Amino acid sequence: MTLDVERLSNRLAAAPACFLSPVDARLTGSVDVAAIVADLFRDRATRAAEPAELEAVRMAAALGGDARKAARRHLGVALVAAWLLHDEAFAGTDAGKLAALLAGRLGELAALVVPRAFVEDPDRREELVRVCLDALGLAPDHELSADAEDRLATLDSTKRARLLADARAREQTREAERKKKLEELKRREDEERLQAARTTFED
Amino acid sequence: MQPTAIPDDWRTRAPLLGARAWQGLTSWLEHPDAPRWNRTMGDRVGERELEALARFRRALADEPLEAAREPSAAMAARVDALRGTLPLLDALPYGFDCARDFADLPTSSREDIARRLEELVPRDAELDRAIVYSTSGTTGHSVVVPSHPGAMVQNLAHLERLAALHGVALAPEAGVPFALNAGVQQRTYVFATSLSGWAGALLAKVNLAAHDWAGGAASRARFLAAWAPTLLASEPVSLGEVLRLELPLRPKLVVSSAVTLTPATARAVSAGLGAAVVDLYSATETGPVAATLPDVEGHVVLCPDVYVEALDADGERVPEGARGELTVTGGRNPYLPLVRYRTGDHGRLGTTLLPDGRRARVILDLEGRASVSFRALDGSTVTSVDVARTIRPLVPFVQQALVQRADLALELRLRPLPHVPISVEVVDHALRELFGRDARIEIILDPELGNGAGKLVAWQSEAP
Repeated sequence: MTLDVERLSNRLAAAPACFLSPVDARLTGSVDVAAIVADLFRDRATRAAEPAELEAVRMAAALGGDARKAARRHLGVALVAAWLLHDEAFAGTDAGKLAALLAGRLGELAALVVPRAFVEDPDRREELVRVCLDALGLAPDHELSADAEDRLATLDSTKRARLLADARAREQTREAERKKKLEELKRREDEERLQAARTTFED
Repeated sequence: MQPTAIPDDWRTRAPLLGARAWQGLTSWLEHPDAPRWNRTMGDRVGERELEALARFRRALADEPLEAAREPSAAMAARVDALRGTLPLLDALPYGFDCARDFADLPTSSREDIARRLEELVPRDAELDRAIVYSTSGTTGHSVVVPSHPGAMVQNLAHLERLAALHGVALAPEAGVPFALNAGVQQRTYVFATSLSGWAGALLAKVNLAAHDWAGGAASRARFLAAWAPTLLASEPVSLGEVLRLELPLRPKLVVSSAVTLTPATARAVSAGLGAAVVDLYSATETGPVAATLPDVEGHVVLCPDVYVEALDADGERVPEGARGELTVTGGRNPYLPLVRYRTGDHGRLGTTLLPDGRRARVILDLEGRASVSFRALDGSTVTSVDVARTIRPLVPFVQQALVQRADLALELRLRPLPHVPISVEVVDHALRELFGRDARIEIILDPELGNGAGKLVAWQSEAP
């Protein structure tokens, strides 16, 4: 089995429906993501998952309040990624890197993209494949590393969101400065008008 | 008598005010027994708003209602159309499908209106037609709600629908008294105006408290008998006063809102006034949500553009028929398009069949806001609206909770806006104006107010 991006993207497209099941521990019929993650570590990683790593997943599945929706999406993306990473090509994956990918980078991604899109949308499938390869320190087959980096940068939702937020912040700053200048200009004009009126009166 | 020309300030306030309506209106404004009018109010309705009213009339009569647990495709599309303009939806992730992922949409609340209104108003809304309502905050938050003349006038179509379902025929005429909005308060807006959506028929908003009538109770009785409204809009406390004072009112339809009308009070009002009685579940932020109908249990959601869910404390839908916080999506206010707006009220949801064969959502065991009256040292009644209206303009705060003990001592908790100081002395002085100079009053600034589990009890009276 190779780490060919197209093949792995196709694997995502063919994900069984149960990998898009509800992940909320309170709902009947939901998938136990911690169990799936434990299997993934056992089958593909350099060591079994540590209890703390699984406990974090279980806690996320039982979160309440405002954090619940974000946690649910995070677990949903982790579930889709688990299907991808169960591919034999990922055998011997560094367990530490795998844990970091599941807890960190997939969480960032889940804030920006719904889990379903990583199965249904071609660009997002490719993005998830490349994010996983990158986070696990693996190079895609048949690609130069510079090309792989470029392609990931093109698809990277997290990076795009950051750029958009930066651009919006810059725009807001510019707008605030423009308003300030306008107000200053108006204030000066009013002052000059007042001064002119005073002069006329005194004359 | 030659009618006087319509003054400019009235033309601005009521662009469609016609000569007959104006002639009728002036005669009532100058009526010898009129209450102390203290405001000039117009509906600001133009032709476009009347067209919207006509469309909504047809929609109320013909369109399918949001009768199911899940929102219709049309409702989901409506929310989807707000993406890109409503800041509340900016953070939706890529691939979010408003129909499939409706239950994952963010919710909003009265606190959001109080603290983050800019996230709930579409960026492209042209605010030049905005009417700004300041609500007294029966749930503890006093808020400013932007609305539109078109949204307000469409409420008339909902009232027409209610009247029809209660077997009442409405026949408004230009310049003729038609509706009365009556309350009993220390202070309130008192005005008469014409309703463009009802052919220029007249509405008067009055304070039934005798001190608001130059000729006292005798003038009040003569004026009300002469006004002879078809429609009486009020709330339970004031309706109780109408019965107690045996005021000469014989409306065909009574619409009670603001606080819950118990079935027993509804029966007493119906028997006492000989009118059909509707309990309308409505709020300034939402517009009309649901109302009681003859021979139907609960409050029925009649507007085809209103979708109601019941959510748990975590914002998840409760099972069908289970008690939850009523949460509204839709409405007609272009300045406040509701997306999963948590009302703070609770109830159970079911589905019912209307006489016209349409299925509709029904709210069972509605737990709305309770009516609260406090007692001043001289024995007079002070309502929660009086208190809210008095303290709100004085100091900035997010929420309040007022408790009056059996010995009439008062404890007011205020949740300040972060980093904005509040003058306790000013509030103390204002409360003494209402409750008496020697009233025992304690005012506590509590930044955590409302953060506890469950709904904040904003008004509580143990006074005898």
